[in-house]
Amino acid sequence: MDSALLEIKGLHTSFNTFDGRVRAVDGVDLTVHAGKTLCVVGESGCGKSVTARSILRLVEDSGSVDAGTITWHGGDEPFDILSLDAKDRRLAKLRGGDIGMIFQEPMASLLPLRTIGAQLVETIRIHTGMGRRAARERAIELLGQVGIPKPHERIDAYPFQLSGGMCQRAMIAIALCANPSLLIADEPTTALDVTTQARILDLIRSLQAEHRMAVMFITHDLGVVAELADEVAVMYLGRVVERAAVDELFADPKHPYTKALLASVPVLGRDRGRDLPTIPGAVPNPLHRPSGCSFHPRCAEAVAGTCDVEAPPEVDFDGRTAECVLYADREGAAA
Amino acid sequence: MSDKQPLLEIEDLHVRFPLRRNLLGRPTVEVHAVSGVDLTLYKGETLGLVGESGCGKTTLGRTIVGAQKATSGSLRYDGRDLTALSRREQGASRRRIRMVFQDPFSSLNPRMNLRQIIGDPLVATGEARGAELEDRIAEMMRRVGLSPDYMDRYPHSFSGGQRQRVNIARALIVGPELVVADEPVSALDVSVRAQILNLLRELQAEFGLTYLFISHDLSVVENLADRVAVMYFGRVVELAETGALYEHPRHPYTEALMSAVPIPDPSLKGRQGRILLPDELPDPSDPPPGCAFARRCAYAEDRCRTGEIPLADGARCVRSGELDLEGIVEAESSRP
Repeated sequence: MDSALLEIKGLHTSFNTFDGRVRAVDGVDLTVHAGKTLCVVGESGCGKSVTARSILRLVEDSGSVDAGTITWHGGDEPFDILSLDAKDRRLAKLRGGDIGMIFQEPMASLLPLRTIGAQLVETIRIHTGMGRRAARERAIELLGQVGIPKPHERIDAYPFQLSGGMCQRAMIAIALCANPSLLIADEPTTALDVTTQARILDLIRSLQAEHRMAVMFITHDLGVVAELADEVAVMYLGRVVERAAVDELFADPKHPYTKALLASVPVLGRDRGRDLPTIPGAVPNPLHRPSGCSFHPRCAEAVAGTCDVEAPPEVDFDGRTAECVLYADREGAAA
Repeated sequence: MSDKQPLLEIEDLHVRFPLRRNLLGRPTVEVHAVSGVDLTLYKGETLGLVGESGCGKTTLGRTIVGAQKATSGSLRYDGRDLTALSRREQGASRRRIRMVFQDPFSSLNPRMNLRQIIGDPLVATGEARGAELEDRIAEMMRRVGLSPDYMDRYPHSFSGGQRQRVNIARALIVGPELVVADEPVSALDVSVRAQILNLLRELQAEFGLTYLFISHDLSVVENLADRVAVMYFGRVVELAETGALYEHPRHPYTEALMSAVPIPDPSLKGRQGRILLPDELPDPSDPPPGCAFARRCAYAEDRCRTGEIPLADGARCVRSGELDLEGIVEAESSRP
């Protein structure tokens, strides 16, 4: 049950910008287990989207993956996605086949000049080799499955004729058309209303149960995390600062950033009319990454002379990890 | 709020946008963005305005600050009807009612430095100049947590949270009484939202401000608002004190909205009875009779689909008296 499906080790992805080279992802280790949901939480600039895009080799031209391995265990034998040639058939099979991906802005991610049906049929035919007519039947079936009413009519609609929630469902249908073993969802509900979000999350959950699909869900919303995740990775400025099972993370956060984040978010029924604990400052520009631990200038528990100088150790707590010097003397701490 | 003094009274406000016009330029098809809102804001309170995208909450806010013309109805501010003011009088009312916008990245002119942005309302009204202008800008910047040293910098060098402080400073520098804040924290990083919410609370206490706080985020509204109005399809469907609304909603839409909010506590997973609404929104250019929510509502009966349903006892629902609706799930156990 708990076998690794996707293993990211030491991933470094950086971008050339006008102001210099930005290390967007700076040494990320992550594992997605078959049939499970991994939520990646973080704020803008933490590298969560770049990590996802690196998996499918979708990093833009100005960026490059500099180091690391991304091992796919979903095939007959494991291979490193990063070492594949751009023309390798295995890569084409992964994209949209074994790995489906949903992007944040449904309106911007669908082609505006083609009907959703055309976009869906194309993907189905590429990955299954079905004929045009069969693929169209399958497309209608999929649109129905993701909860689009009157799918035989909507299949000929252009994206602008559908609401944001409907477009997002169409994207999910495209991502799911080849029965992927991993679904990567990059903030798929952020642009949607809560009521629509509730239905999309419900849909992802039920599809997951049906197909035993693994999900890597990227979000900044801790509520969504609590609801969906089996495991959580908290990212800050290009690194995973804490990783734990969802119950452990919420009940007993270890990293000061996780603690502060959980405390600062207003929760229904808990924070009526009261001042909220805050995290000072703002997320730094990754171009000017603070020395030592990236979080130290905002950290309430920072140790002067240590946190601003040394990179924090990754500490292992029986299966969960946190990158923080506070736990450095724990047994099993690896430098 | 010991004695409630009305500051703004909105009566039967309608805002319609023409979709098509006939030969004579008269609208033939119109979208009803706001259709008959009655709402009173009391001095010193925070009224939260929640609802999904397209419900008319932003249009209502823009109409209050004068950025959008009302089609009909009245907005009485301190006893005077804002819709019937002359241009000059409108200018004066703009000083008393100010707006903070959602997106701190697009709402600041990138070619103006902070001195120009924050000082602009004072310059435009001719209220201050020279050293006095400078002093007032510096004072306002300090008040919202920005160092006056940044006065000559441009918006691009600031983070989202800092830009939102600039937005707030610009709104407050002319000493308004009413601030309409439209999703002021939605575009911000989670870790800086709390800073801005606390700042808004502080400034309210200090300057005796009245807020209309527009947001789709129910947890943020609960944190800040004294009373909450829920909008659906251009109308207020429920209006109540914050505690009452969240614990005992009286409109099925409010109940559904609250049940959809994910709670950051995995131990509550599954305990929350989630209501999944079908997404059959009525056509805003041809509103149905009766309750606009009826076709998505699990409790709807035939009588919900006819006639005009008034806002009675805080809810625009014919069944609200007989329904026992579910409020929020208590999350008090988690963290102090």
